[in-house]
Amino acid sequence: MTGSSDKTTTNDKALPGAMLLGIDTARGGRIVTWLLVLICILLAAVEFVWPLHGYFEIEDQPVFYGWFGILVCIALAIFARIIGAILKRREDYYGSLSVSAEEHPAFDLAQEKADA
Amino acid sequence: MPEYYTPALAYIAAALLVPFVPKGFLRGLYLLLVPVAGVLIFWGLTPGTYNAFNLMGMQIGLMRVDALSQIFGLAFSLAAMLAALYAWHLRDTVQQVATLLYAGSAIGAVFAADLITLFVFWEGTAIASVFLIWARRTEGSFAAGMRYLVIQIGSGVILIAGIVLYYREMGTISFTAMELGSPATWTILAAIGIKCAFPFLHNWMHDAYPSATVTGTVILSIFTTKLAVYALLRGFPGTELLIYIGVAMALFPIAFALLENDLRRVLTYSLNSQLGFMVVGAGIGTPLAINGAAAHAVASIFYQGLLFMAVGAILFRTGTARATALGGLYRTMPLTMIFCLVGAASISALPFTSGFVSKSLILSAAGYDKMFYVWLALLAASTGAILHTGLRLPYLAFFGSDGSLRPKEAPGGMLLAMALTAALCILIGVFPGALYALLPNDVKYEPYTFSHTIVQLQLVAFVALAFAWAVGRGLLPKAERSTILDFDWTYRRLLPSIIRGLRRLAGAVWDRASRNINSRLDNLVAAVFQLHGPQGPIARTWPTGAMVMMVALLLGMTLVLTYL
Repeated sequence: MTGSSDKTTTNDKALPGAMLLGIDTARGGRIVTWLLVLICILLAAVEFVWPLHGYFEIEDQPVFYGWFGILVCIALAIFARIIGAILKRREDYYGSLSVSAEEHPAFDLAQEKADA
Repeated sequence: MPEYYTPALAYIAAALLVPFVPKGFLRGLYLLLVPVAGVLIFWGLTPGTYNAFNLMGMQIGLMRVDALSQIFGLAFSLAAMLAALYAWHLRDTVQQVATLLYAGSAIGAVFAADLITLFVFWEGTAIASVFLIWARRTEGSFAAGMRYLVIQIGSGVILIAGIVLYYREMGTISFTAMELGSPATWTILAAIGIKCAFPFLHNWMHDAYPSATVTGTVILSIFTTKLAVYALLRGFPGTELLIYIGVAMALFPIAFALLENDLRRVLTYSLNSQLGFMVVGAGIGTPLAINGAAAHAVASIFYQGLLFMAVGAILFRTGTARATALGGLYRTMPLTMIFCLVGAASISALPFTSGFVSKSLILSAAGYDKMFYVWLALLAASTGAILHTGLRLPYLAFFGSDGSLRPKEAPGGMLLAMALTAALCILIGVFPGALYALLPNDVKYEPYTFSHTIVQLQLVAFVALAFAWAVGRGLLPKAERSTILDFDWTYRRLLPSIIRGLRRLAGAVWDRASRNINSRLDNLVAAVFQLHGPQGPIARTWPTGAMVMMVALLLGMTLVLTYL
């Protein structure tokens, strides 16, 4: 995973979610990815041992749900980029008649810092 | 039981009394107990129509109790209770009253046996809910609320027009299954389509829901659209057109959900896509499909509500729901993260969550009927849901680039509400029999077959792997502070500019025409003046001799003419 520092501060170690510290680092990202690779291999292997049954012929293709999922992800990522290129505008496009660019009013919030 | 009893009455009466209950613990408890009172009104009643009376020759039925109304009534009541718990910290009387009236109207509509009662509560949901948007008290939310109100009231006006046509055609206002084909039924379907956020009628949701208060958005996400799904299941089951509308609904919001920066708007697009599954279920119309649509509506009320609650908690503590400002919140909001992940797992239809046992019914219904392309499209939409809400949303909020925000964990009321909703999502997933027993049709269905469980796990795992790989290489579209134009651009920008253009054109034509007419009038006045003015021939003073001469001439001519 990108964009995060590999360093954690002493303060972070005192935070409630400290046991997951490092999951958002590049190393954590690699571990998660390889763990997923392992899970995918195991799940793909299952259907070669116990044949699966579906509603349509296409489901009889080896690891259909796996490659279908990946193909759809690629297609969606490309399609979203095209849509973004055409339809993305600046945040205050609709001016004051939209909440997009305005800050949420403070009276509706209770912003507090975590005790660390 | 009195003749005018309906579960809505409990909410309306309670709403009137809210200002007299002291704010704080007592009011919180009071708001929690109102849904219980509402449930007690219909709980245990044998199926049938209660509290029916005659109004100007029309048969009104305030409370129809059957499996379909009961399951929606129960889900709405439970959700209202969880929402009250989530909003425990709230001290705004306006929002509390609006919430009760909104929930009461939605539940009243679900139990309506006739179209007039449905219309009254239909409009009730519109009017009450807009205050949850206006309660944000900003210029942007006021404008969004006005747009929302116009569209929602418009839906009601179209509905009443359809009801009038239907009454003329059929001679009844009973709310039962209709055959699409006449102007009346098309009109009624259009009204329901607006509230259900059909494609091109959907923008009110993405505009208004993220414009509400922290708690308001959670409450808005529960009722309006699910009420519309209920109306489709009651009024138009098995209408083929709904299958195609539903497929389009399930697919088209995906790209927007992948691009949006406002996480509450990501969730509205995600909700829109999930509604598509329910509309397909209503369109297929087999007992299994109807069960699937009802089950998915119930499951979606809770898992989508849970996701809105989690993002609401983030907004409540950090002041923003923009993905660009968030990230790394797992450090300080681990409980909210866990609850959000339960909601994400449910919308991804991970086995042992509610989404798995409800979505399966609809996909199986399409599979049994050999609707290959519908099934494939829904599978693609499921993949999209895993990607944009199951993975991207929790990643952007809790992991991803560290936004350096270190907010405190959500308050107790919010955490408890999220914990209970998350527990419900898992309980429904682990014990689907309890949900299936409440469904309208008696159909045997086993979601946990070996094949089905493995293929769904495969889908989720491979999509997660693709996501992790794409994120690592920056291949997914970036979240940026932006506005993604949607169809509302047509009435927020295009239509006003067309009207401005027409106004300018009309002004120019008017100017030219009035200049032309003015100059013609001037010429006419000048001509008259020339003739009749002081110097004109008509106004000239003639000498007496000339007049005598003219009279003699006239007499002479008369004489000649007489003897001719």
